[in-house]
Amino acid sequence: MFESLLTAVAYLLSDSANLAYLSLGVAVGLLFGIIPGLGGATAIALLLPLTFGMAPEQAIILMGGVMGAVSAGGAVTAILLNTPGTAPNAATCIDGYPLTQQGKAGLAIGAAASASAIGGIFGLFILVLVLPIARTIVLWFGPPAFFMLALLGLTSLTVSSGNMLRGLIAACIGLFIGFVGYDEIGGTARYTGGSDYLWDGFSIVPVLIGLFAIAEMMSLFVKGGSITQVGSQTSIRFTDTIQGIKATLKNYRIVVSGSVIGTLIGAVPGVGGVVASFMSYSFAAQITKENKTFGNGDIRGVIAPESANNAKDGGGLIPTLAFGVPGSAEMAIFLGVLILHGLNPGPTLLIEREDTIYVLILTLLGATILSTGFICVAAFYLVRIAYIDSSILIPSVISVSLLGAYAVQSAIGDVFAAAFFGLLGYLMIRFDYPRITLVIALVLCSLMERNYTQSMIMFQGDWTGFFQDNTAVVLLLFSVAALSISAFRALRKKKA
Amino acid sequence: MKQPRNIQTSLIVALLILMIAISVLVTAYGYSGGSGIFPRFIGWVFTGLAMAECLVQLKASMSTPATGQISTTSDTDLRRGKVRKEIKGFLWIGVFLVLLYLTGFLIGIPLYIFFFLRLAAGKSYKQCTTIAVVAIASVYILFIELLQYRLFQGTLFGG
Repeated sequence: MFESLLTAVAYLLSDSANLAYLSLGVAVGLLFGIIPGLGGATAIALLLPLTFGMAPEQAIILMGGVMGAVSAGGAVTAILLNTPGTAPNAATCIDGYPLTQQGKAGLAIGAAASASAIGGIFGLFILVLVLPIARTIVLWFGPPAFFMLALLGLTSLTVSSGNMLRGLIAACIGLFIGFVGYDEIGGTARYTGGSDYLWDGFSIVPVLIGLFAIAEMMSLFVKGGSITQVGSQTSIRFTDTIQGIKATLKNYRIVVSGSVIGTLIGAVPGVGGVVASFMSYSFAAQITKENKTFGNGDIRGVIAPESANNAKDGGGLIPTLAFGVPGSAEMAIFLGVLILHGLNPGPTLLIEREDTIYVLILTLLGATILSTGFICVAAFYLVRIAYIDSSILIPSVISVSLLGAYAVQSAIGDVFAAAFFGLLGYLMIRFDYPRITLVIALVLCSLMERNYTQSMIMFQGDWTGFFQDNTAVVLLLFSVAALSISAFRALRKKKA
Repeated sequence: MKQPRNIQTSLIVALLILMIAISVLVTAYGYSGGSGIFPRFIGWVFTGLAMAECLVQLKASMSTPATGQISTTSDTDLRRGKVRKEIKGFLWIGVFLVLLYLTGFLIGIPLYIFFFLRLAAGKSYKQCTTIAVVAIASVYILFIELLQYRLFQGTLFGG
């Protein structure tokens, strides 16, 4: 192991071109992370032709640079404009944007960047430890455990949303939005109204862009002024970013829990970073005693999703490298890059090309550190966006957002969908219905339904079968604990 | 404390949600076999929750007049002003969508930015033109030149 690690370090430092590829990957990753709707999968797909003439390790360095930087870039727009650069950054909007409104954008960016870096390093560390025993861990999660995992995400976030009744209503709306489209199990088109566009259901990016970016720009239009209503550009200090880094270190427990959640969920194929970041957020809101400020600009609400968001990359590489089963769209395209360069994922790759695997791990580590450093330095200038006059910001952000919604699958229907969800998001803000529970329910809907149906087929219709799966039972106990703790707290508050 | 009219609005919203819940539940019964099981279950939960919200709001609206809170003329004016701004905001998004649909991104974006800045924000012609040109130049360089995207051309131009 150490021999391979040293070989990988020596390879990386042997040629200045390697560092140039890493820097290029980081720059592209940051750019694609910052622009809503693009994301890592698009960046890797677009850079793929460039790697044809490269050595496999150099191609890995370029792609690793992108993967390590993209989620850190996405946090910037999530915090400053309430527009998630990539879908998993949506959870960062919940507390990141209110912090910007309070004139604490530098603090939020510093915290997000540092949490993202620590989460990323943690995920890679786990990857190194787990790769030899990856097969056993991935097999823990069968359909019953997946269903319980989704249920845990939904319940824990709903109880932490403040208004439980409205949180549950929003979750139901989210589930019904998730039902829209062709149902593969039953073979029926549901809630499509005969529309061809709705046959595939709503794509997650236009929904997020609408609910967060467009709805918030509508709010800003009604309110007027700039995003930040306190202080001025002269009050921006570099020390704000340093304070953010300190806040991350102070809340190390949230960083660790977020990183564990991110790595675990990242390792489960098909679940994805959105679930990881939202579950980390809801878990942080649950385990924190003083959680009233969550959703109103609590720095812990930025640290939790960001640490999970970057940690998921390490986790996601476990099934990708060990079995050739990609955990996300980004990993699927990366898998294509590996195969294209003659590296066939599986146990053989882990044994015969161990040094190449370490090149990838070191690249991701380098990309995480480089992107974090860049964002921390650039934060001083980036936060000025929050002081721009809303009349200039609103048309620019709406244009970029709708363009981002279109860019995902080049469908004009996505632009209209984003506008519709913008209207829905604004109405939810206006009438105090939490948007977070709607989003998490939408994200978890297909996972819940698919695994529920598969489980019931496995158990031949006997629901008690869920109790025979150990992982499912543990996850169910977590859900029950989340509900019980919340009910107990409410009861104690009422008595007090 | 909330204004009586706000509570009435919340009740109307709750009733609207209840209607939506009932309609999606009824629709779910139209799906055969496995496709309907989960939506039906969630539909019943949704309807129950929406009914609970209606009751909460009904109770609140019935108890509020007893507090004797009366909205003043300035409150009403403020509320009307806010609603007017909200309608304006949605109209601007509607205008942008129509522009995009008809003329595509490369023409729609600068037109929308120019007219929004001129008519909604009252900026000078010079400012409006500069910002619109910078915006579309950035979009062109990034999406067309660098990323080689084929942006929607608009139905008027064969898109």
